[in-house]
Formats: sequence, structure tokens, C-alpha cells
Amino acid sequence: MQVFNVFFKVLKKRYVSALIYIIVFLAISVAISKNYTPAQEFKESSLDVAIMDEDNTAASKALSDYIGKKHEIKSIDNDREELTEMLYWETVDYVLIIRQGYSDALTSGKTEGLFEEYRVHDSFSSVYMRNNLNEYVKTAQAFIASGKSIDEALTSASEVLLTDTEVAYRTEEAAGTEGFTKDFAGFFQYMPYILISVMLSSLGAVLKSVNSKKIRYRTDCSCLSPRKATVQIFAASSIFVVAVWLILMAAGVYINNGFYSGNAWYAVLNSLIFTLIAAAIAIFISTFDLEENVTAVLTQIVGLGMSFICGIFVPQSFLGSGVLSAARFLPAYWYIKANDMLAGREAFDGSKLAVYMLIELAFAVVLFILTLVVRRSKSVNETA
Amino acid sequence: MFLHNLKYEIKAGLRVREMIVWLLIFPMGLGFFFKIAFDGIYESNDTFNSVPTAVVFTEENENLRTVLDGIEASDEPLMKLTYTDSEKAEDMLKNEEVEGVIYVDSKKLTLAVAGEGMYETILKAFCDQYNSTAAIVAETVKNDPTAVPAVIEQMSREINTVEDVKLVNGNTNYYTEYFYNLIAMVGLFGSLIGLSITIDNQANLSALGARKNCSPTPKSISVAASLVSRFITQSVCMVICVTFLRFVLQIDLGEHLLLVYLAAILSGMVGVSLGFMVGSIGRGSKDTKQSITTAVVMASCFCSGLMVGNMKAIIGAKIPFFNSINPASVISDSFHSLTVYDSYDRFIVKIITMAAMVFIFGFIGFIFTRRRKYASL
Repeated sequence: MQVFNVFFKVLKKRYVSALIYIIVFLAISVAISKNYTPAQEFKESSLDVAIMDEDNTAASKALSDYIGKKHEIKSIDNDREELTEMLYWETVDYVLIIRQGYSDALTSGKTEGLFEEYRVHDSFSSVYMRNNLNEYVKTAQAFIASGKSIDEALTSASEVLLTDTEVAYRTEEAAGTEGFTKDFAGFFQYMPYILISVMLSSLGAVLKSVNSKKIRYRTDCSCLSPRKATVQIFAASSIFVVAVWLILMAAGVYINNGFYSGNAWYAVLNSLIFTLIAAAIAIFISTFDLEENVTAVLTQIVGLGMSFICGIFVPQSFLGSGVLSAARFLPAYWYIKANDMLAGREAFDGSKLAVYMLIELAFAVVLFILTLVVRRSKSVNETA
Repeated sequence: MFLHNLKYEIKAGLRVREMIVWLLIFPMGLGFFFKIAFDGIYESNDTFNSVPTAVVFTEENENLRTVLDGIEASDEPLMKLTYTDSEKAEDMLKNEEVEGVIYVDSKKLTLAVAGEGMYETILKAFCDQYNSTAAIVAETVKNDPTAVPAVIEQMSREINTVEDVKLVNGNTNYYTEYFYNLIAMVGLFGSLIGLSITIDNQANLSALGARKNCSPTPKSISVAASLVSRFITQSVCMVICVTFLRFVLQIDLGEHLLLVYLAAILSGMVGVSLGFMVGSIGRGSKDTKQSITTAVVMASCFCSGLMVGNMKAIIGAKIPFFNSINPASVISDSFHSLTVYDSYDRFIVKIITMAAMVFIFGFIGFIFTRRRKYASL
């Protein structure tokens, strides 16, 4: 058991970065999941709107109240830099300035220059709010034209504009994604990056040490047969890989507020297959005997690169067809395809799902074969 | 003495090619991945485009046809319409070819959607507006039929009540932030080079360190020469990184390219001095210190938005102070300030913060490195 024990002794020195990845990932997953409520019916997007009321009249307050019934009103100082940052990062969706003289202009039928909006992006929020404001003014002025006083007109405009259209919500979540909400799918979506990072920074580093020329030669000339040493390394690696996967799955139970059920089991299987892929990548890279700091850089290229072009950090639906065509040659693409299907973003089809997972397995097999080929060629070179 | 040491430190540094090559391949590889992932994504997803919509007339409605024709004819149409039957429209909705289906009868509109985003909200707002207009006219007919023409005239006007004030003239494509964060990460990965200063100077960590500790050169001069040589090496890497992003991948880094280079070089120095500081604290092994440095860099980059683009804004809303001291946030913010704002005020603050970080990290590194004696080598 010496080699087996050595594996974990070396691992003890390498676990810090792996632990940080897991802790940060789990902390974020828990924070997100605890704020989630599943949608049963259509709900309009509610915007974060900042209003600066320069008019400060009953009419301008009525408008603020109307907006507040549909959206979240944020109170913010008129600091241009702060507003720019908020609009840039979309922590505020719309900044409205009700100009002085709004009330008089509304009564006299004027429509131009009633409001100002601060803009950074040409966003949907701007188009939506502009339409909404135009409609509010038109409706209020129509009520004034029908003979109502300004107060009555504003009350009626608010009432009539808050009347909701009948909306049918065609969601497949209930039927297609039993036991696996879109939010829970997010937990599995980010997992490949974590698995690659953890495996490369810990398993890869340990295997590099254990398989380094100096250690291997010492082991080879000991009374322990090379085959037994390999079996012990394999056993220790397997225990580590399964342990990492089990920790993530156990956290999944907590995040899901209950044990896995329905489609969530497919996601569990999908994650197990990707854990094997991540381990295979780590084992493959460890055969090249790279410097520790080079491995750190390479981990980020592989982990982040795959995450960005396969749809882990940016949804696949956002990515162009050219990117997705290239991503097909990477395992994370198929993992995300399967995860998206389970989350109901694609119609559920068992045979398609099996194909996705088999493709992932094929990547793992190819990586293991490549590792054997590289090892064999290296040992031939060393012997020569 | 210092220049002599510096010369040989640079020479020795250049011979450790593996790390330098990877520090160059790193931004090129990831920058390439970012480029292909984010090319055109801002224009197609974050700026306004007409909403693909199916329209099903269950009964004829001349008024609505006129309104829809008007929308289609406008310069920036709100919707991209497809007139079809119910079955085809539902198929289109299921296959995500349209964002919603508007069902029209003679009196009102109803809507079918499959999501809850801004597209669907805009479609609902359109239906709400049409239905409310119909309700107003109906109410006026009931209360005062003589006012109907005036009400219809008011409701059918095309008006624009909002004047638009654009706050910035610079690059507002926030996917460029990923590239700023990439430069920040490359800069901070300079910490792996910085870490080697302590490893090469600590007798318990390397044979080279043991030899250096026996030499008569004062430690302060030897360490300062190592630090400056790493600054130079990392600066060259940063210049190549920015040049590659700007001229090969054609990333919009704004008009003040020289200042971008300055910020990038400073970011590399922040990285090197961070590594120097982490390396000099404690008696951990080389591997432990490398693991800690990588973890610190990745945590810093995560908080700055390398993996989740708006993380900096989320953190800024809860703990604003953290963004002012997180190295990756400060670095990426310096590029952000240059490309988004016309004034240099914000940029200058970030540059001063980076310079202060270089000084503080370097100072702490020196404090912990000095007077380290060995009973036996």
C-alpha cells in the first residue's frame, strides 16, 4: 500500500487550490438556488428604474406611482459617473428624468421634451420604457380630451394601462423537466469548469509527482512490481475522483432541497461521465511532465477556453453557429447539450440524450488511449 | 553591483523559457477563444432588435392590420411579423423561431409566450396598449360619444416624449470586459514569475537560493535585481499580450492605446510583486506557495468578472470597497475607465492604486525576505 499512501501524502500538499475552487463554486450555487422560485405563469420583466423628478407636482408623482406599480423604483443620486456604471452593468435598467414643467405641458397637450432618459446601451429596456411613457402621455391626454380633469385623467390612464392582456404561458417545464428545474440545471452547468480545474490542479499535479522519473525509477527498482504500483495509483486516483464527484453530488442534494428525482438522475450520470473526462484530461496533461506553474496556466487555458466556447459561462443559444461547430470537437459541448435538454431548453429525447453521453464517453476513452500512447512512446525513448 | 546582478537575472530569466512561452500562449489561446465566443454577441443579444412575432387573425380586424403595417414600415420596427395560422404559429413558438404569438379577434388581442424575458414583456406591452386603447374608446362611447373623435385623434398620434441623453461615447460592449479581465489575469499570473524571486533567493527552497545566501552580495541588492528583472520580463509579456489582442484579434481597446499599454505593464508589475509577497511569507514549500498564488489569482479574477461578466457589479452593490482593493478588479477597471469615459480622473485613480499595490506588495516582500538566516545549508 506504500504507493497508494504516497498518493494521498502528495495530495495533502496540493489540495488548497482544489478546495478553493470547490468552496467558491458551492457557495455561489447555494446563494443562487436559495433565491429561486419556479415560474408557474407568465410574469412581465420588472425593471429597476431610477426616477429624478424635477417637476415635483401631483402629475409627476402620479407617473412615478404608475411606474412603481410595474417596476422597482431605485433611489439614486444624480451622479453621472455612478449612473453610468449602473447603466453599463445594468444594475439599473432605466434612468428617467421628469422635466420641470411636465404637469403644465401634459395639460396643454404638449408632448415633446417631457422626459429625459440617460442611456449607455441601446437596450430593450430603453425601447420598452420609451413606448410605455409615450403611451401613458397619449392615454392621459386622450382622457383630458374626453372632458376629464387632469387628476381624473391620470388616475384613469394608470388604471387602464395596468389592465393586463391575457397571456398563455407555454412552458414545458412541468412535463419535460421533472425533478430538474432550470435553476438546478445551473448548478450542473458550471460543474465542468470546476471539475477540470480541480482535477488538473490536484490529480494532475499528484500524478506528475508520483510518475516523475526520479520517483518512478525508485519504485521500479523496489520489490513492488510495476504492475502493482500502477494498480495502487489507479485505485488511489479513482477514490479521489469519485470523492470529488460525491462531494459535488451531496452539495447538489442540499441545493435541490431534497434527493435527486426524475431527470436529475440523468444529470447526475452526465456529471459522472464528465468527471471521468476531467480526470482523463488531467492524466493526459500530467504525462507531459510540465512545470507546476505551467500547469496552472494550462489549466486556465483548457478550463476557461472550453467553458467559453462550449456554452458553460455563456449559454449556447447566445453563441454563433461557427463557434458551436468548433465546440462540437470538445466534450463540454456535449455535456451542455445534454444538460440543456434535461433543463427543458430542448425537447426531451431519450435516444438523443444517450448519444450525447456516449459521445462524452468516447472523448474520455480517446483521452485515455492518447495517454497510453504518449506514455508508451516516452518509455521507449527513455529506454533507448 | 545592482546592474551586474540585473543583467544576469535577466539572462537567467530568459533561459527559463517554458514559463515565458506559456505566459505568451495563455492570452493568445484564451483571447482567441473569447474572440470566437463573443464576436457579435453584444449586437445580437444585448442591443435592441425587432422581436420575432407570429400573428394569428382568428377574426378580421382592420384597425390592427393598419397598426401592424405602420410598425413594419417604421425605421426601427418593434416587431418582425409573420402572419400565419394557429398550428404553425404554435410550432414556431415551440421551435423558438418566434418569441410570442399574438391572437387577434375583432375586439382584443391575446398573447402566447414560452419565456419570461424582455422580448415577451415588449410583446405584452404592445398588446396591453392596443387593448387599453380599445377600452378607452369604448368607455368614451359609453360616457360621451361626442368626444370619441378627439380621443381617437389623441390615441392615434405618433409622439416622442423622451429625449435621449447618451452618457458615454466610448465602447459600451460589456463583453470587452472579458478581455480586460484576461489582461488582468495575464498580469496577475506574473505572480508565478514573482514567486520564483523568493524561491531563487531562499536557501531552504532551492539550490540556487543556497548558493546566493553564501555569496557576499547584499541580499537587498540581489533581491531588488531579481524583482526588477521580473518586472522587465513581465512587462514584455504584457506588451505582446495587448498588441496581440488589439492588432491580431482586433479588440476595441479604445483610442488611448499608449495608456492601455501603461496600465497593462503596471498590472504585470502588480502580479510580480504579489507573487514576491506571497512567496516571501511563511515557510511553505514551493508547491504550496504556487498553489496558494494560483488560488489567490483565480479568486481575484473571479471576483472581477472573468467567469461571470457582471460579478464586479454584484460585488460592488454589496461591498463596494472590495472592488477598490481587489487587484484584478482594479486592473480591469483601469481599461474600463479608459474605453468608457472621456475623462482621465477614474483612470488616474486606478493607476495610482496599482502603483500603491506594487509598492505595498514589494515592501512586504522585502520585509519578510530580509534577515532570513540559516543555521546550516
